[in-house]
Amino acid sequence: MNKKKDFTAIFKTNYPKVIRLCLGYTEGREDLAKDLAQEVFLKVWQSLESFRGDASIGTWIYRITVNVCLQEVRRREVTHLKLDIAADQIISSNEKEQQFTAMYRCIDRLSPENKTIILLELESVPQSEIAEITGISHQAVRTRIHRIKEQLSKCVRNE
Amino acid sequence: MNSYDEIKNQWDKRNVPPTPEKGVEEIIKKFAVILKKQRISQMVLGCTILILIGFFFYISAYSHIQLLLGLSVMIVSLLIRVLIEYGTTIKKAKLPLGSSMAAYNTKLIAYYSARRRIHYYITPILFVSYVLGFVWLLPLFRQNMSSGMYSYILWSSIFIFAVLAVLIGVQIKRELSVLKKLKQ
Repeated sequence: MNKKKDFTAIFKTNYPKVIRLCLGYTEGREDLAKDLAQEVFLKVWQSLESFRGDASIGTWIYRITVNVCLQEVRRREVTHLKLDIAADQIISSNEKEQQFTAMYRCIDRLSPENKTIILLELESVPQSEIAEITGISHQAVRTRIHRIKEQLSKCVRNE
Repeated sequence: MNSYDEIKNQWDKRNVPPTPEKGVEEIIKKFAVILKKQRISQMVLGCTILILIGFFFYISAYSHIQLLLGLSVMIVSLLIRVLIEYGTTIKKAKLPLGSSMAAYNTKLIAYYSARRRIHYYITPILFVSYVLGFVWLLPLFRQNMSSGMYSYILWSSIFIFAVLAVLIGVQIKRELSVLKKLKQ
């Protein structure tokens, strides 16, 4: 009963940030992002008792989210599955939607590591926490963020 | 949308699905279903082993050396393969998803490298043993079956072995691609 109570609190507090991050990995596809978010919380429920508190619960959940989403990204790449979001949105004359499409497409072109770093940066996660989540040194994260921001801006301008 | 600040601004304005009201219940229910499926798989695996052992004694395979050899090789190859698959599935499920991305990647690389060793060395040996076991049984099939039945068993088995080889090949190729991507 206690586990369920703890989990409910964790779920309610963390679901918005998990789904936001998952949307970044799925080029904004809500259905896929929801499935991934459910998978993340399934893993959280499964391993809640083994959580040792080495990192904060938020960081731990971000780590699970990143690892679950990257597995999905790799699965899609290996099975050559393409998301059909681009086709849906290209035909839209809505300028806002086209901007979203361009943004997601440019994020998707980044390497899995860089994608993770910039998605966390876009979520305003502190760089020290990004370093904890990714296992990359704080200094390297800072340098990379600068480079990825330039890469991303350039890509979106050309889209 | 030119600068990173504009991208960030755009990012913050995205529509985000609300937190599902029954999300917790759905997750707990899904977890129970997964546990049930795991138990069913264990039971199926246990029953398969029992049926194979039972079949072995039912046809008194121990009383005929050729039958004993052929059938034993086939059963043991199959059992080893199934147990390896089962063991590695459990091993993968136990990888700590709560580790940092880099640490988890290292563990995944170790996992897929072990799988690669299995695919390169153990799988071909087991596959060849299984086919050899079958080949050992062929003279017995010829002696004890009609020629039509014998031809049917022979050709259908060749077809099954070919399909099996292709399926194993596809699975190996997929796992090697994952390993390659992880190492990039």
